[in-house]
Amino acid sequence: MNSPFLRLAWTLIYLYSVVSLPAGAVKCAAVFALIPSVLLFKIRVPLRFWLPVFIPVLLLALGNLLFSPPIFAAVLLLKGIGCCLSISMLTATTRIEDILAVLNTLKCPRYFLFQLFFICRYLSLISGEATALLRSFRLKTHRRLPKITEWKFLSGALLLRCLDRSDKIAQAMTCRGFQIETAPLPSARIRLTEIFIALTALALCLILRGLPL
Amino acid sequence: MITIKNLSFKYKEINVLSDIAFTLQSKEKTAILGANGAGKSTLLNILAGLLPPTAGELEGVPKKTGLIFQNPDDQLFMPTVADDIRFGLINAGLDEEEIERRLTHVLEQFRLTKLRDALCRELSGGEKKRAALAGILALSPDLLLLDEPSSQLDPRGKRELAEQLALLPQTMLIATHDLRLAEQVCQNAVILNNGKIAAIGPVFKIMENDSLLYQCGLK
Repeated sequence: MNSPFLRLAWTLIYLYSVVSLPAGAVKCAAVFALIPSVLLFKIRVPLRFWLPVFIPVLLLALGNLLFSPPIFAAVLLLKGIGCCLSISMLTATTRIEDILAVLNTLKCPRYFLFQLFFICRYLSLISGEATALLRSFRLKTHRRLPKITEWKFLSGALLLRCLDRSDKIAQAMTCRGFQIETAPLPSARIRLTEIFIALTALALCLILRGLPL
Repeated sequence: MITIKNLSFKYKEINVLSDIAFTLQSKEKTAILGANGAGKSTLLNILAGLLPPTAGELEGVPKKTGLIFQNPDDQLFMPTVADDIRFGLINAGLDEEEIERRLTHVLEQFRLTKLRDALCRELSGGEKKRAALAGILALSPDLLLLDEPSSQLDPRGKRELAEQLALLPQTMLIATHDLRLAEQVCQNAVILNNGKIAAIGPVFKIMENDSLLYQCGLK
């Protein structure tokens, strides 16, 4: 799948199919969760890239155990794994600029596209600031991780630092003539064969979803 | 000619700048000297159109104004050096051929050709400064505003930067407390002290006034 359109289309179709699975469809959810796992293994995305996504998914499923039967928690866990892995696969293999180009060709609103672009940019900014903050904390305290009571101060400091830096970046963009209303967006060429492949993937997912597993 | 008339700026009832007035001739390089908190960066931000002045007027400020931030990490927000330089050129609506021509030119001018596809976050301090400058100069601004351009640079980096800035043809306003850089690059200087103009005139005359420099926290 060399085309960014196909990768995006596959991810969206997959997400739709998985999210809309019935709460008790544990076998079907397992089959769906297996697809991105195998693909990730096959394209050799490093473990450190996609392993962290299991932590929030696991917490969510454990939390669900408190309120509903174990089978629902299992389906939720499998759904979560599948969704997170498919998104990890998309972000690991496709540049945000290529995703924007495809979405622009599909006539998505320009404000939505720029929001998506900024979120992706700010994620790296937040991780950079968090790393710097934690490093300075470790140097001052000689402890690897802060105590629970210290997290609130660190989170506050991180938020302020990120706001300050994002403000600076917005200024730097403005200085170089950036305006959401006029900024050019890249476009992608979508071939008929790609649309056909995407529709086939949609049909296969719907068939798999409908199987009495 | 750029004229700044009685410019003032207040931030939360604090007078950051009061009654700033001076003119800047075309192609002239002027240093804004002052200690930390003197209002140098605020003045540059107002000239770049990022902050509206509380009072006063600006005349003749060209539309194509480039601002170089003190911290290059704030300026370089695209993944690679080439992507970052291209960002402004794409926004200027230039065609692909012209973008490539300007990109190649500034990369050569600032000795960044080998770092074309390097990740911005992995550059050294001096390389980041050069990349930030290249990103702005690719847009051929008529007025160049530089905020502490020599900070975070080693002596060699400072010397090279001064040489490069001196060769640029643009009208330039450099906010700094690096007196050596001001002497090497600028013809005139404005000293700011607590948001007010303490002195204005040719750089060599201002540098001779030791007591004034000491009083304004520059020595």
